[in-house]
Amino acid sequence: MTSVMSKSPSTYPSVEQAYAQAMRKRVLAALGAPGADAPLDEYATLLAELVTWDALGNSVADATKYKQAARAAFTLLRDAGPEGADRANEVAWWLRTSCLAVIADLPQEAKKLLEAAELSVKGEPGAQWLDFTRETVWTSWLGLVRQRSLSDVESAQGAVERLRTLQRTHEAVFLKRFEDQRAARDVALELMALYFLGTAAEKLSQYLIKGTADGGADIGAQLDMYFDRIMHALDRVLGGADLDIALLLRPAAQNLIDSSLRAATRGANSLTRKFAEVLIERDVRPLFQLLPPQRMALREQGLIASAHRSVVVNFPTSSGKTLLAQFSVLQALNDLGQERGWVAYVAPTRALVNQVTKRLRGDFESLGKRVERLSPALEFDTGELSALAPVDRDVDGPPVDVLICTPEKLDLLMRREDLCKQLGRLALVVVDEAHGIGGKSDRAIKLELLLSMINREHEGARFLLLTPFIKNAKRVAEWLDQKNSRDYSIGADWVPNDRIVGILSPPEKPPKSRGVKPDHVLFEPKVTPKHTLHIDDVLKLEGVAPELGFTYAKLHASLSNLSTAASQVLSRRGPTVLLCRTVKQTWNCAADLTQAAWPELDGAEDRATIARFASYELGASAPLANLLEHGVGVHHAGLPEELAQSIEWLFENRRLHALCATTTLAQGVNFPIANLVLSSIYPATRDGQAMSYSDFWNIAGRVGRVDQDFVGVVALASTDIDTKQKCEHFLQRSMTDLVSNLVDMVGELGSLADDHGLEKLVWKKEWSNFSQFIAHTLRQVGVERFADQVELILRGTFGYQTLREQNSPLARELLVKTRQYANKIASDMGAVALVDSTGFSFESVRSALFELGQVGNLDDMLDPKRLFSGKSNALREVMGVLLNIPEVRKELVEDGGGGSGSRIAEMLSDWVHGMSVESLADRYFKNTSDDEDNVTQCVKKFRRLSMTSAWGLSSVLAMRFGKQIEAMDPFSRQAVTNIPSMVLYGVSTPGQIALRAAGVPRNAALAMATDSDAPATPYAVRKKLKEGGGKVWTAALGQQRGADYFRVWQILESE
Amino acid sequence: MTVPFQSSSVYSGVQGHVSYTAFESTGASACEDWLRSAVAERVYDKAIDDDFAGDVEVLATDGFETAGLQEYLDEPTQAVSYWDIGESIASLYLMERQGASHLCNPRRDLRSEQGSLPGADIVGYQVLPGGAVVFLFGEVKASGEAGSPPSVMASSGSGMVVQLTRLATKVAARRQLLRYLKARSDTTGARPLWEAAMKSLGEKKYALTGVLVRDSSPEVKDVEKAARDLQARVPKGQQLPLFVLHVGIKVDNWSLHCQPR
Repeated sequence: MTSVMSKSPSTYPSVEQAYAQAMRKRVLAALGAPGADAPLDEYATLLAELVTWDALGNSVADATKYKQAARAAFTLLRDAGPEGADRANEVAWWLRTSCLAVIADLPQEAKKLLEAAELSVKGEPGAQWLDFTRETVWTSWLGLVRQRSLSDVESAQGAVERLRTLQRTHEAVFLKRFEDQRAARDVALELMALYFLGTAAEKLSQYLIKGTADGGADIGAQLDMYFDRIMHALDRVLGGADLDIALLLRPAAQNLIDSSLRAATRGANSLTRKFAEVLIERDVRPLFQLLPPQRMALREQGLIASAHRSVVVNFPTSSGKTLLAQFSVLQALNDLGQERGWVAYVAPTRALVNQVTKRLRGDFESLGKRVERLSPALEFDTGELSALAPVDRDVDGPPVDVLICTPEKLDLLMRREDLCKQLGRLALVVVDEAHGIGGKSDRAIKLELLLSMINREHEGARFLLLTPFIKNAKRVAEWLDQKNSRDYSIGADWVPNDRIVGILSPPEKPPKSRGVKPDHVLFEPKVTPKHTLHIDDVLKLEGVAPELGFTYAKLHASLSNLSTAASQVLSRRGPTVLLCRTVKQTWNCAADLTQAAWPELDGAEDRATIARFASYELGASAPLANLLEHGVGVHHAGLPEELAQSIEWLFENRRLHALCATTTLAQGVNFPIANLVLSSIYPATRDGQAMSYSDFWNIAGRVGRVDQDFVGVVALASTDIDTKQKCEHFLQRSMTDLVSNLVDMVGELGSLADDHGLEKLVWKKEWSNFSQFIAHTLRQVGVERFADQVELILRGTFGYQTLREQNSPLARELLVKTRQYANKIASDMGAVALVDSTGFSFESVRSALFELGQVGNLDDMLDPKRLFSGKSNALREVMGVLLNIPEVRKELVEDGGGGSGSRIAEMLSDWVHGMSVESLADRYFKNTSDDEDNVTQCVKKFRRLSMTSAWGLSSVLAMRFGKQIEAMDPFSRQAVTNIPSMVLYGVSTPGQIALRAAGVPRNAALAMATDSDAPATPYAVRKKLKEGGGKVWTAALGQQRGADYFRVWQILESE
Repeated sequence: MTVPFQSSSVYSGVQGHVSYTAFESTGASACEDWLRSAVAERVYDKAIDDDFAGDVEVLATDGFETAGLQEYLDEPTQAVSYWDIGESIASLYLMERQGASHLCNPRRDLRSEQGSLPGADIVGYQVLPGGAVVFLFGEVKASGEAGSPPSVMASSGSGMVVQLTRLATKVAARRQLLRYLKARSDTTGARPLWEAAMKSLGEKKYALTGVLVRDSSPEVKDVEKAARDLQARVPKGQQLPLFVLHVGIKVDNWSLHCQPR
């Protein structure tokens, strides 16, 4: 593991002490606590700066040493502020301090420092030509460091050109004013040095934008020459204002070059270089520079042109893994040459799939690369089929280059030989959040076996696993290729932001506290990822609004109240997420928060749009609209997906003060947040277990604001000693090895009787996944060869590799049982084949086939209209059968309101026919839960029920009607194939399905496409919607509603 | 050549943490010899590389006008003044008698007119009797005034009291000087001294001094009041020795002896 930054910043005790003191002040200031105005140790600041020079000037000093020194100097100088209030001192301080940040490999800190800097030249060239020249040159360099926009980086070119023009008028007059010849000579020398510095800035600007300066890519050598001349001149002047800054600028410029996108992509393939241009030239958030971990991986360690088959990138949250993946994707696509092929990008949740799709689509569109997402439903609807196997380019679009989906969907796809053949060679599999392989859920083993399967069957496929939080990255990389693998890891404590994690508690009750409302809560800092914020005291978070109504007793009695109060206080310094235990708590906390008097907040119009959208989707009486108008949001699984995403957008774009969310948010969040308050470390969904290390850091790691000088705060609520100790213990956990779920699963073999095999375990989802893996491989290898190959097949899994090392008898037992199991299922290869098309185990397929054979007429399954008419016995029967299938039973029972196929059939029919959420809630979820309102229950249940039912129905169609469907005419076949999508999206026509697949919310889709016969693919629909603008929406939905839905769609679809 | 001052003082005194000591020269002829040799050598010490022709050429190719600059860069160095000579006298004395080392040559290095380098004539190191090394900062004043104290001690803008007070109380002033000294030390073999002085600075230790170079007879009033004023203004923990050097040659004649060699 390489650590970008280690703990101790300096070997001088006074510097270390001052450094700690400065960080302490920073935290106290951030929390508004007393002590933030402690005096600065000027000596230490000076010393730290000198130590940096020392380290920079000493050729034997290694990079780590000078980075540490620069970091301390940066921190102390930032704290010290400019030496004088005038513009010259201010500009010098910005440049000196930001250069130190750049040298310290803290580019984000430099940008944050300069966020508010005014970079236009204030001085006049006339009277003070030297000052004017200095300001022009320094501000040009500030733009190069800040890189907020193209104009920041470009400004050096215009400014220096202007300097050249003005020089002709002003320089001679200015120099003539000096009577003292020595002084005039010094000024002439200083001007010469500044002209050189300006030219150096100009050349760096050209290089960062175009990749060349004066036609050459040797920018390092060019700047070296200039800095030699600058030093030569300044060495003879020693005007203090310029010398030290020039000394710092030299290594800072080198760092800017080394970290530049241009340097990283120099010599890379043309696609990658073109991508770099897209990133540099885009209007929103142009990217010129890589973060230090990205630079390390891409440039210093060669990931940009890596030929390794198996790569693990083990970087902490927010360190820019997606960009690395994008480069790898392009390299893989480029390597395909003329060969038809594709890249699979796997993300664990629907939210992440959507986010990655938006990002990749936005970035790759202009490269002519098609990016498509697949729905998480375990079936392929006609829209998806049109993308996977395009026939007509105008309607279906060009062939797909990158497919983004969940692991389960990719698993299903990889078992569809026909689709894989159409897609061509699988060039690369990117696995986001790959630590999921080590989870305890059935999804973990699914992902592991999927990768093993791909590794075995797709010779040309490469793997890129993106993960934070694992200790054995090298081992994981070697799993997929022993010889040709590589891991890129940096310390888990590297974060782009300063962040402090601590424990909240209520203030001590004074005597006679009855009815008294305290104005503060207490915060005890515990963890600082950089180990730099040293605070021992318990701090007061002051400013609890009396309107919240929290007395001492109420704060002591409830974690919810305590965390609401803390969220209200912290929200004043930036958008705050309050992570709640339950859905009900999110509503309650949000309602409490609206009682406080909030300051003005930008984006009232956007909030109003989303509030109206919420009322369209959930009913006019839904409380969300009112909350949003106050700048407070809620986020949980009981919100329609599009609404949840819109709320994320509001929060991300600082249009909300606070967001009360369940851990659902943690699974999808990929934007920075200012403060995070956890009302409990035991989410209701984890059955008494604390949040996992990775879940916690996945969201806590995003705390801190990238674009502003900011200390992020993570606060865990505790109202008693026991909870506090649990929180402390929770925070002490550390990263562990990634361990395959198979290792745990195999322990269950011991519980089997001697004559029992794996078939006794496959009712469990994780074993069902294992069974499906075996069934698929059996088909691929053939019955005859399977016995010989089974060990090799198992050896391809991460779990079996670990087992062999740790417990070979158990590994042997798994091998024996697997061989026996394969022998058994080989007797019915027809059912084995259906395993691949259903995602059910062999046993489930056989059982379903048997039961389907027992029920009456299922012909309605081939006629969607009759099937969802509300009168179809077939649907009731089929749902009844599915209720006995282990893979879907739990969800159908829980979400379908018990064990009745009839009820589920009824629910699905109403859903498909477009019944509103409000009506569905009223009909099926009236008073079903004490904790959640009807609408929340309804949305939550339908989100899962639609997924599970779509999967189940798709499986039934494959099992029972596979051949019949193949023989149908295209029109009828499409109608039947759409059945699962109708259920998934809650709509009834192909046009509506296409709209839904193109990201249109359900209510809008229902209104916008009524022509059931209109042939449409998501590709064509998206194109049409993009080109049609708001008119398409208002025509179907009316003025206000249409405009609102159009805006929401834009938010959801655009990057 | 050794400095031509008596080893015992002609007068001395202490005002709290501020002390003063005055020395007479060992004779006018020794002083003249000294001005002709060691002092001249220091005053007229020239930089190794004063040729900017190549730089100017590059600047021209970069699109800047260079004719005007060239005129000034080619300008011969202006004649020395008595205060330039006084600074060299003080530096040589401090290096030989007070453990000072690697003092930067103000005549060569420092800019006085633009004021971008804060007024400090002495910037370098001092090796203390125990062997510890500290950064040394100081002020030098040369005066041919008949009256006592000379106005250079107390003038409100650039007098010694004002300047030493600034050096003693403003870290920013020392910061600027250290940036300058750092650049010098790496090229003059003073790196070990730099490292040792940094350690002392880490303990907030550095040295401060003031030197008055006189052409008149010893007179305690030259420094007495300044010492009193400085005692009130310089922080108590900071020792401040003042030295008065009586050259015995009129300031107007210093440059007659101190000529380029």
